[in-house]
Amino acid sequence: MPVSGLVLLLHPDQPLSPLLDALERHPDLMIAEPVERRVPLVADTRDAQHDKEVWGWLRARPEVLDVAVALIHDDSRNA
Amino acid sequence: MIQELDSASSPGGRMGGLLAALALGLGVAGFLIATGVELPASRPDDASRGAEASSGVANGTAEAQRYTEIVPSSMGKNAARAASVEPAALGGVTPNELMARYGSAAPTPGERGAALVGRSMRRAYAGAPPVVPHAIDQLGTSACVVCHSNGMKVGDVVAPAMSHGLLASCTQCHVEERGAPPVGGMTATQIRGLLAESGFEGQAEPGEGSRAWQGAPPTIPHSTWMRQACISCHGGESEAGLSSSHPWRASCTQCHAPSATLDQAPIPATPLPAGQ
Amino acid sequence: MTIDSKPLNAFPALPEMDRREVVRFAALTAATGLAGSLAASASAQQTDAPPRPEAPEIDGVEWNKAPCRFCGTGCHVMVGVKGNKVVAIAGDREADVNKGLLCVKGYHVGSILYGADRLTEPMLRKNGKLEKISWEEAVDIAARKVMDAGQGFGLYLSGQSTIPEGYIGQKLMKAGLSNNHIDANARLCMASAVTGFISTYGVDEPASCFDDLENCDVLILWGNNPAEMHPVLWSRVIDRVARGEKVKIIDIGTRRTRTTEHADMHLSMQANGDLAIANAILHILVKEGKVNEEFVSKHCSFRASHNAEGLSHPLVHDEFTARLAERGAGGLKGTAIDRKDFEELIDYYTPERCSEMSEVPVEQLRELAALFADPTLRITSLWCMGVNQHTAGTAMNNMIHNVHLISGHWGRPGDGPQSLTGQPSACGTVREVGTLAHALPGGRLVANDGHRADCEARWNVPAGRIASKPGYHTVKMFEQFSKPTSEGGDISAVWVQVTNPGQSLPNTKKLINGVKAQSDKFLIVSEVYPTATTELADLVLPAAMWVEKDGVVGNSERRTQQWFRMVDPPGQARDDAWQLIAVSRRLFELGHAGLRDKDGNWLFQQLDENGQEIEIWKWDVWKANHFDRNFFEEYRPFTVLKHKNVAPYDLLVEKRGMRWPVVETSPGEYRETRWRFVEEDDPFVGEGARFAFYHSTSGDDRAQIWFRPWEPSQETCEDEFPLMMSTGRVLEHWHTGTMTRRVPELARAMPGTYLEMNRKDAADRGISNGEMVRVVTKRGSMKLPVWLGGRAEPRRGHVFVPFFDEAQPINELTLDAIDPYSKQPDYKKSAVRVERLADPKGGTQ
Repeated sequence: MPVSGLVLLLHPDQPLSPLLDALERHPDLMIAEPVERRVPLVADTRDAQHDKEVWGWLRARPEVLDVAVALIHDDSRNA
Repeated sequence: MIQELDSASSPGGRMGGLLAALALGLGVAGFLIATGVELPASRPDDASRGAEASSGVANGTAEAQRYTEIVPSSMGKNAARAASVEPAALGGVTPNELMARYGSAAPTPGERGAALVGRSMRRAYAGAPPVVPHAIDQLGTSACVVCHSNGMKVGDVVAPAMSHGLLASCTQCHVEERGAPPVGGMTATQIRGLLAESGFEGQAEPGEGSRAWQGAPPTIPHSTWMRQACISCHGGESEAGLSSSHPWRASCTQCHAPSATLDQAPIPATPLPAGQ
Repeated sequence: MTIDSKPLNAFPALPEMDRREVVRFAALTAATGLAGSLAASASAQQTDAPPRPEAPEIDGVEWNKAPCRFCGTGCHVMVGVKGNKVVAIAGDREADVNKGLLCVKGYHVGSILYGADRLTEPMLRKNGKLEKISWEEAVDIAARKVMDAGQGFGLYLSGQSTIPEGYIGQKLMKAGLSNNHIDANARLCMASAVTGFISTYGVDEPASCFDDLENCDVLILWGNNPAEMHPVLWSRVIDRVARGEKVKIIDIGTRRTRTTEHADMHLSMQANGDLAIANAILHILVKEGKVNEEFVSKHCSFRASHNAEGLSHPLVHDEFTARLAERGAGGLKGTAIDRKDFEELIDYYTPERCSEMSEVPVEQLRELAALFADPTLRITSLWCMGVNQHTAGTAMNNMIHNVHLISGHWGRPGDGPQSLTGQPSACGTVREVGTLAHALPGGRLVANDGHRADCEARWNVPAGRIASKPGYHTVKMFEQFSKPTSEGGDISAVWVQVTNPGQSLPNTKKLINGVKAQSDKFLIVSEVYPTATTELADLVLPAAMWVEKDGVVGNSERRTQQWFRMVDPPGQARDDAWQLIAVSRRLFELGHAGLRDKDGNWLFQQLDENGQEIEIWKWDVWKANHFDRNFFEEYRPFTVLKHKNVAPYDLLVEKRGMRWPVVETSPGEYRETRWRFVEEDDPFVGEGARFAFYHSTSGDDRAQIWFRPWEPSQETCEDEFPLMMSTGRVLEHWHTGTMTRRVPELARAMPGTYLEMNRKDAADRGISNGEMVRVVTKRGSMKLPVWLGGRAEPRRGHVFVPFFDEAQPINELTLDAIDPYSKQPDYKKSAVRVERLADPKGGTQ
């Protein structure tokens, strides 16, 4: 059950509102206040597979240049 | 040399000669044991280890590399050392085995995150003395020292070594997470009701230290006051999320510099004179 | 787009909390931090390069110095502020007192500002309920009540009030309202130390300083527990021991505590045994000719409450004490007696007799005396509430000074008596500014004509403005407040600031609880949290706290220390000093003549550089400026009379405090004093004098060695109440716990109070650890859980209860008997009985 803190680096030229709408509507993501062109968010996913899917979805968005990882917490790896 | 001693005729001379032979023999043997070379030695021509100690080292030393050449070069053992230094000198463990046994790849962000969350559970803010997650001897501090002077790991439970030098009154700063005194039959909920909540938001633990370039040793991202003993949190027997990839290197501050922003040392920075 | 999440550190370890929530919050914090730092470094680099993977979190924490809010040790802390909130604390490495170390309370002092139930609005009690009102209304109501009450008004301040706060209150009462009913909670903790100092040396406050801790060979603890109560000072000593130095630690008391664990010798004594122990030492020193003849003959005189005129020699002890009883306690000056008289009286206190009185074995008494007999040793005595909260507190203070003076263990680093203070500014505010019913600033007295005239001149008020009759001391003030007007209770209004008498007064039901029901009694309380006192209040004024306001305080070693405001107070909470100023202004506006000085100006008028009046009674004006300096500098000249010269404010801003007397050695160069009355360090001792007690009550530069007889405690153990109860503190909580019980780490470590019993006493009664019992005194009863084998154990026949718990306020049961000189109550000796709940009245063994 990974919980990830991520930071998206947004493309300077692409319009942002479609992305931000999509992020807000996404059931597993929680967004925080963007700082310049970087959007901090938390992804709360069911398992590693689901986590990979969310990650892939984020990277595939044309507005997203890069996804940086701030913190990952994965309970399933602990005894 | 042995032939020389046999030819000594007088008793004093023989005694002196024997002593000299003994001393010399011990010296040579000691030297040879130290370098791990079998008697008689068949030394390779590349004498970079200074095997000619008695006759002085002149030839065969490796050329020093310029700083710009360090990164791309491979700084492993040279051929002579690889051949001459036996694993025995390292207690029977090769560096690779050390790495496998004690080190690990640097902790994953997930592990680090878990460790930091765990730490913050016991500390009001980054730098606060942790509360004690177990019952303690109310009176003395000698019980504390038994486990926490050197640190200890039993299964998954880690008793970290003190991160600071020995201070005589542990309970002055470290109180129990759950106090020992009886609470008169009150339930946990009742106790919570009596204790007013707090809105204090403590300074969070910092992330990793900054690196000058990829692969450089990170700077220390936290103050080192009361955290002088790095092995306490970063040693081989510490929590997985914070343990160093090379805990056998004991002089941490040789490579890891203290943080300029977080270190509260009251040393004023004086600017360099202009032009330098 | 922001997340509403719970602060990370609120109850982090309780099982009910959602761990996942915590993790999500941690992830969010990390992500936000990373975003911030990446954005910052990107704009610095002006590049769109992929983010560096390991940039540290944005810091942005600003660090400033402040003295800790808690005890009289006066550690300095560095306060980390971010976004107008305190986020971290560090020990101040530049501070002399603590050298970067703190105790668990100090480490968590930042949290005290953020309890969820912080008072943020002025409130007036209407029909039994507290309702919010505006500040304008609150100030008006308070001023009118003060005016109407006239001489029936009392101001109750605190050893936690800052020096400017105390000075403003003092000036308002004494120079404005001509009212001497101003007292402070230090009456309940340090008053006997004050009278002890004055009767011995002629002037208050310790002559030595904390440097003694690094220099002593022997440390004697007279009824105190520094391992829990002055932990940082304790560490200074035991860290020396841990490093291999030889320091002999002697612990005298009725309980074995954490302190005892480090002691080399423990003298387990009966109640009031301390008087016998000290007398035994004096006896042995005299008998064995170990009096320090040089010191005593040159620098000491002998004193008693009354003289021995008409009595035949050799004096008979019981005859003399009968005379004392007959003629009464007398004053602090007493009367001179001959050394011969003294020695004849001391003869009575043989080690055997003292051993019987104190229940300390003779060998231990002899061992203790032998230490004093050794002139090469450096002996430091420390004491606090065990000696001060005592019906013979002044006497016992004299006795500790006695044993040091008579043996010459005085005036060298590490060699001398050192009284410890409990509160951060009992010295700085209460004792030095004189916020007491009989005192004026700088050690002056209201009863002294010259002192009153001097203060009237300094304050520019007409002659006769200051009243000459001492007002009511604390116990009397609250007694008169609690008593119905019809029965002669002539105090009708009281204003309490920065203290919690509803929980800290002894015999609380008698002294204060009754005011709530009396409609003609009005209680104003300036507070930060709801307390036992706000429960009784008619008008509640929300106050700013610690680093939400400027301040100056004075710690136990005469160190005056300063700090600046660092964060804003919440809601409508405002500085206590401003509250006093605002009410003073309102009184002036309402036409109260006392608020005008000789020239008709407002008593607290502050002018700017152009001579225009600054409207300091307006909150915005007050908050935008720093008026502490004005009031501190106005107060500073008062301190010169008794040679307690405090440092200039600007110097205190720079330093981590300075110990007075602070003298200017050359223009702009100031020097503090570590040891008073000794030539080497005290600038006021003349050359060649070696020692000079220049405020000596006998006018000859000599200190007084007092004859003080042993006496039994006020309440003794009898059939119905066979045990002796002492009350006190614990490490985790400070006083009544109003601040520390709102800090999660401290509150969870020590959630509630308990009854500490001797294990054998418990076994005799069939009481087990954790069992609920009933504690009964003449004044009431209370249910408490028993803690056996905890961090302290009382001797047989004694019990102990900490007083921090609002839910179990043990002071409802304590005795309000007071010392005749200091008027300080005795919290350490109340006779009790312990009953098992299942079997009442069973506890008569």
